[in-house]
Amino acid sequence: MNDNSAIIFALCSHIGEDEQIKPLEPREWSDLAKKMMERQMEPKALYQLSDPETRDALDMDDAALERIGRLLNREASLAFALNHLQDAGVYVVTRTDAQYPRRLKAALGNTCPPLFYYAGDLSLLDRPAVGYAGSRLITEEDLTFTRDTVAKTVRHGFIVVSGGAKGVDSTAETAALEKGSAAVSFLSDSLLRKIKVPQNLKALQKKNMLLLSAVNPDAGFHAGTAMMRNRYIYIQSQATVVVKSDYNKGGTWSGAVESLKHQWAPVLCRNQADIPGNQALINQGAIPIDSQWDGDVNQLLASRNSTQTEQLSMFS
Amino acid sequence: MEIQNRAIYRQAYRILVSLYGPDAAFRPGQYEAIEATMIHRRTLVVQRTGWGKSLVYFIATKLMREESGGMTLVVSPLLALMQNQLEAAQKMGLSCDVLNSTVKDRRQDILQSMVNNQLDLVLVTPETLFSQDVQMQICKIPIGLFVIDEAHCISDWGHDFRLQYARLREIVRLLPLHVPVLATTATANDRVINDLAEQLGKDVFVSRGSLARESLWIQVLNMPNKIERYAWMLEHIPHMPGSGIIYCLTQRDCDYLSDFLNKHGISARSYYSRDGLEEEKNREAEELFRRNQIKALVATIKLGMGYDKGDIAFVIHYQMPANIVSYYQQIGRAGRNIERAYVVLMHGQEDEEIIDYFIRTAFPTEKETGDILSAVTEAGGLTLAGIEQKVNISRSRMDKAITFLQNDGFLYKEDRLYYASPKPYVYNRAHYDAVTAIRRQEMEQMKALVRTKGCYSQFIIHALDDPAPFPCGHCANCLGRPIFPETASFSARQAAAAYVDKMVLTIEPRKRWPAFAGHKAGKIQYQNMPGVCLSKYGDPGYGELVRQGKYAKPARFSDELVGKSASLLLPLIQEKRITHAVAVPSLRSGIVMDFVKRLAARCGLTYLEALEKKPAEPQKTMENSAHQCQNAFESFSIREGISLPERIILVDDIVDSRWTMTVCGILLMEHGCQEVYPFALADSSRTEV
Repeated sequence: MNDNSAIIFALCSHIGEDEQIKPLEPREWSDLAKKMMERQMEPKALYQLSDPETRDALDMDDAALERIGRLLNREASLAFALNHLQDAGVYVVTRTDAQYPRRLKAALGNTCPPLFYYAGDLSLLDRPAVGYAGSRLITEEDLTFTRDTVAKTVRHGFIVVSGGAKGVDSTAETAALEKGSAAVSFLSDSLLRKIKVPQNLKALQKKNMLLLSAVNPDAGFHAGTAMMRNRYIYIQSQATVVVKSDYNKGGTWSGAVESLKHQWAPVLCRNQADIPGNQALINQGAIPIDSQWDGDVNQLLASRNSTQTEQLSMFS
Repeated sequence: MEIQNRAIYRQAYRILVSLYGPDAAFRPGQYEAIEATMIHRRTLVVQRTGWGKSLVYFIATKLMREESGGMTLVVSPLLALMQNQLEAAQKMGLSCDVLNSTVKDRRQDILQSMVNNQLDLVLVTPETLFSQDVQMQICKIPIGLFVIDEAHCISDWGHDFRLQYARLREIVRLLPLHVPVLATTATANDRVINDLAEQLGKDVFVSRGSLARESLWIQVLNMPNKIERYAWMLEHIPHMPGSGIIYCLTQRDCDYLSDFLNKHGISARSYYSRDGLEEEKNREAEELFRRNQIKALVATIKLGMGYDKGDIAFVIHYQMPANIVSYYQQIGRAGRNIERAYVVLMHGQEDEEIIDYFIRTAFPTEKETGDILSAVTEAGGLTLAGIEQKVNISRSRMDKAITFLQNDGFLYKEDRLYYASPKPYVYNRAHYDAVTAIRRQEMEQMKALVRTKGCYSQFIIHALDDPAPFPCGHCANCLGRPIFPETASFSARQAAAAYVDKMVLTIEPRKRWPAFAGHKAGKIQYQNMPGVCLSKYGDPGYGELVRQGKYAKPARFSDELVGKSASLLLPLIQEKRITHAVAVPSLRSGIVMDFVKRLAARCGLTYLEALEKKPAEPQKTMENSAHQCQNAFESFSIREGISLPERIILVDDIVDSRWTMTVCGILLMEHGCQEVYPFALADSSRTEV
């Protein structure tokens, strides 16, 4: 690990967190990184915390310096944690690494996670992907729609990106793998458990899968992190398909609304009259699709753009 | 002395003087290594035993702690050595402790002191370092300096391959570059040093000194067979001063040799890889040796790295070791704190065959690793017993394959379960082939050593790429005459020959079931009595006669084997009042039945056809307990309506896993027999270190 990555890992990893060791939250690290950037300092400069000049330049109170000092002191011993993860095929990529998910960094800037734990092939991030999202309460019919749509988008050269959760996510992943395509999952919990599932394991070994987690690889489910990771799915995708959303509540809803607002990726929403959440998203600008859609994302977006341009020209 | 940084020099010198008085001076290279460590460089120290490697990291620790840096973690393989180092460090005023299997009850307290940054230096064994309780805490410990003792073990080209050291290599690779790492070794040739330097990172400071050990008096003896070697030791060991080590290549050789020596008035104990309760025997042997209460410790390479006893007066190699690096290490244990120690190397044709066997079987096959990995992948995690049930590979081969898979990151263990890792699997054939080729070259180098007419010591340290090797002046070649006579007396040879002729192997009863075919592991209710076996299959003497008998046309075991077996068994038959002999039946050949009939007649036993063979896979194709046990049960049954006597000798030609004997014994005992004594002509189980 290069020194800058090692510093980010030591400062931001929640491994071994306790009363003494309080890692920096993404926002705190962003603020510190920004401050250092403004003063043209590299993260490496933090090694010289005992040097008065460095302390002055950083302009931090004693408590903050003490906290950073403690976090950096565990830098050597964290190699054991990395080794433990590496044994299980789990690695760390930090914001300063070239392999860090590029699209996330471009879209989120300083608010992107300082590091990801991952298993699998990072180069899958360079392949065009369609995201899949859906609420947890789903029917067999919803899953059939998911499978069929994945089959079509796969045929047009898109891999699947999802949250690796039960329901729509895992159905989409399985369908993609069965069709010989690949899957990227931004997990909100349990990376170390998911790499043990035989289906995932085989796909990982064949380099057809990538699992990423911004939280500790052994973390359990937490609603807050689940919300956060939805945005990674949208940003990583060329477009994301919403199979089924609750109305005005739940992760699928807020993820789609957020993406519409920030224009992270076009939201393709299944046009189903009896699902109020889906209808509301279409009203807010999601592109309607149904079981007749052929899965050609590029053509759909291109025709959509030209319609919009036409409409605009009519009104101008 | 090269001083780059005056401030560090002043501090280091101040500490040195405070310890050893105003006249103290650094040994050549010591200060340079301290300075390199202090300016956060990766440092590799290759110096002979006794040069003073620990002083380097003691002083570095002291200086770092004065600058409020983190603690020093010293990874060291041997417990005995740790105690000495601990005392030395305490004398320097360092607050320190050890973490190993001897401090089990204090472990949590020590770890807490480390987390609280209250200790300056802690010595830890690799096994303890990677144990779960330490790993749970380690991420909270501020480590300022990382020291690896016996660092040649982290090289892939080293010979003391240990999984925990391989993990250490990964740790070093993962450490941020500015964390100082100090690696030390007394044994490494250029190839190992280059590899180590590469593992340590860019810009490594290497300190390298002469490897010559002037207290060693080396002699080489060409001895073709066991009898000659036994006789020589019987004759000459009593004339050697103090106590010493005899190295053998296999466990069996250790047991025989120490038994032979004990029976002839030379006190000895064996020492090799033993598990569980048996390990106590090693501790006892080591303790007796440490107090010089035995003359010799007869050991395999298990008596390994860093073993430190200052007054070892001789090291004898019963067989030629596999390479010069190990040889240097093993003889290096002698003569540390005494002026003279004798080093005797015996060699002959058979040694080469054993070494070649080790070289050929050093790596797992592609099929072994592939089968294990796919079984574990399919199952989503398996215990060791689970793997044994799914994969037909012997336990020792399986252990080896698992170690390699773990080392290469394809398999990992959590609690009791093994899991396949997401890493795409490749069999590293090119690397294994390269290492195998080098090991063969190294064996050739060893053969060149025994043939050399020049100084042995010079040859050895030259082979280790010592920059300036010189003749020792007192090895057998330098002296131009043998140090000890090269032969033994007639009476010693007679004693050895008589012993070798009477050598028998025991067949220990199996005591526990493995988990197999839905059964749980557990205690065996009907256990055999301890049995005997005449020979090691294929060994010169009876082992060879057994092989000839099996391959004769028609197959028949000779009258000599019948006679020898009878003379071996008669005392047992009389003592235990055994009345009947039963053969382990076979569908393919009547050779065992014919032999047992003749043996029964010779011993006055009744021959009894009590067992029947059912068609099944040949037992010798079953590679581990779970498979052997299940197959044995599918192979045999008791003859209907037979009535059995109380005591039986159960005879087979070849014994290997002992499951056939165990299952046949159970069938007999379930049907009324009370004691079953197994007997086999030859043992074909594999050689172990």
